[in-house]
Amino acid sequence: MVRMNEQVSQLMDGEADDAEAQRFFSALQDPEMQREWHTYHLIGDVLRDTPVVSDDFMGRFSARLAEEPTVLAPHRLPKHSPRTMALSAAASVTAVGLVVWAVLQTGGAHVPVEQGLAQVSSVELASADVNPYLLAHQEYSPSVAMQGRDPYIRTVSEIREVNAR
Amino acid sequence: MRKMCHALLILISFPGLALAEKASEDGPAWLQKIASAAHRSNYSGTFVYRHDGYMETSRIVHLSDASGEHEKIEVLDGPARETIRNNDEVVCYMPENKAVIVEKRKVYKSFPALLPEQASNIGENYLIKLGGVERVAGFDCQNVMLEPRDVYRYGHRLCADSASGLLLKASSLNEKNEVVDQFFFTQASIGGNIDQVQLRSKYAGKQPANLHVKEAQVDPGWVVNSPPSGFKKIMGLKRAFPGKKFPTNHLVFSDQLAAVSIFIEPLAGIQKPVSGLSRQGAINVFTKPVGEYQVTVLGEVPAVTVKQIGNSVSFVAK
Repeated sequence: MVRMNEQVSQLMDGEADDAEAQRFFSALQDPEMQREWHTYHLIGDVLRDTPVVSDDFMGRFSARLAEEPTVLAPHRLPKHSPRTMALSAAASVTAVGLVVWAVLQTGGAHVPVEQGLAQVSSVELASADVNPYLLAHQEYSPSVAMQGRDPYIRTVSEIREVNAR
Repeated sequence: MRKMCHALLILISFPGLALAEKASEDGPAWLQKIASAAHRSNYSGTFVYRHDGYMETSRIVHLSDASGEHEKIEVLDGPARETIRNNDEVVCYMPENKAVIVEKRKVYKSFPALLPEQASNIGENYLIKLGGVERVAGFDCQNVMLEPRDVYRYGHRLCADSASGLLLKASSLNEKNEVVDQFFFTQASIGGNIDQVQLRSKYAGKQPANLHVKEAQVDPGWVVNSPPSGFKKIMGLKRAFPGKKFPTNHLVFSDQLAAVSIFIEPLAGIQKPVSGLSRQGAINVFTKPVGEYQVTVLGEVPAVTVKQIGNSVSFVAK
């Protein structure tokens, strides 16, 4: 069971590879595994303060889903004549025009802060560049001090080397 | 008519606005109670720090007496770490790296002491509201909400023991009201006597590696033209950093709750100069070159804040 628990948490953290995930989903047919899966999500929800749905939500949901009739009718193929295509294209242009007009009307000069952010892509920093900074910032921020991850330790070993010289 | 449309739109998009609670007068008093309890009382317990998928448990013992504050924090997960603090002197033991670091701290921020001892000005940047009572670590816990007055800081939900005011749970919340990071006690005992023995490190006696860092004034000429409102400079110096080739300018801006560091270092000392935003745990980082220098801005604030500060750093020749 311990091994299974590990798998559940790896999968939830997005650390499992595709093959592992596939094996795991097959194993989920087992009711015991399903309970485990729910428990882990419940823990996550409680930690994230997500409101918990009513008892046995999944049970009732699955029952209702099973009762839903399966629709076997074939899909009708969408047929686009050149004329309707042209018309819908024209409609789209009009819609864009309307939006532009509306923005201009409401004074579009004000750009929300988030839009400015979207233009900056996320970059990757060399840890040697940023770690000494994180260490120095920790005096002012409790969240840095608490990250017992590599950066902190690595920076500390650098300090030791510096001192050993 | 257009004005009316705007008013309507605002009402539709923020239904909460119309029903906004009135800020409670007890809020600031509670905040001061929380600030004092963390520094001026005895307590011990186990707390968890978590952000995204990361989680870490620590044990804390805190004693306040005539000679000031004495504290031991022991990280229980991962590599062993112990921090012993006597007022502004901090000794950090890292047995796996055979490292002991001694530093003087001008500022000390650590759970549950997240608020400055004088919390009176926090209301300038945050709307203080009293929330409900919940139970944390077996104590009745009063919620105090700090809602940011603009987009440049996270919100905070503080929950403190109703009797003593000791902070038992603290969450920072982003603009979508999602938890960015969180501290909470899973077990705590408040008040009573703390034995000096509990404050000793089991690694004590190891040779400390004293950090003798030469500090100098920040190069004049570096200016931050338009920091977001409420952020004031609280520190500025130039010093050598371990692992860095050149002395680096370090400025700190704070709104009393959140802190943002600005580092200015010659580009020649940077391994991989990049320009843009990134994240380190709950910390947002913005980097950009300014002339021959790399400017790095980081802090437990929204990305928009580090970006705005980074973009307003410039050098004015004097």
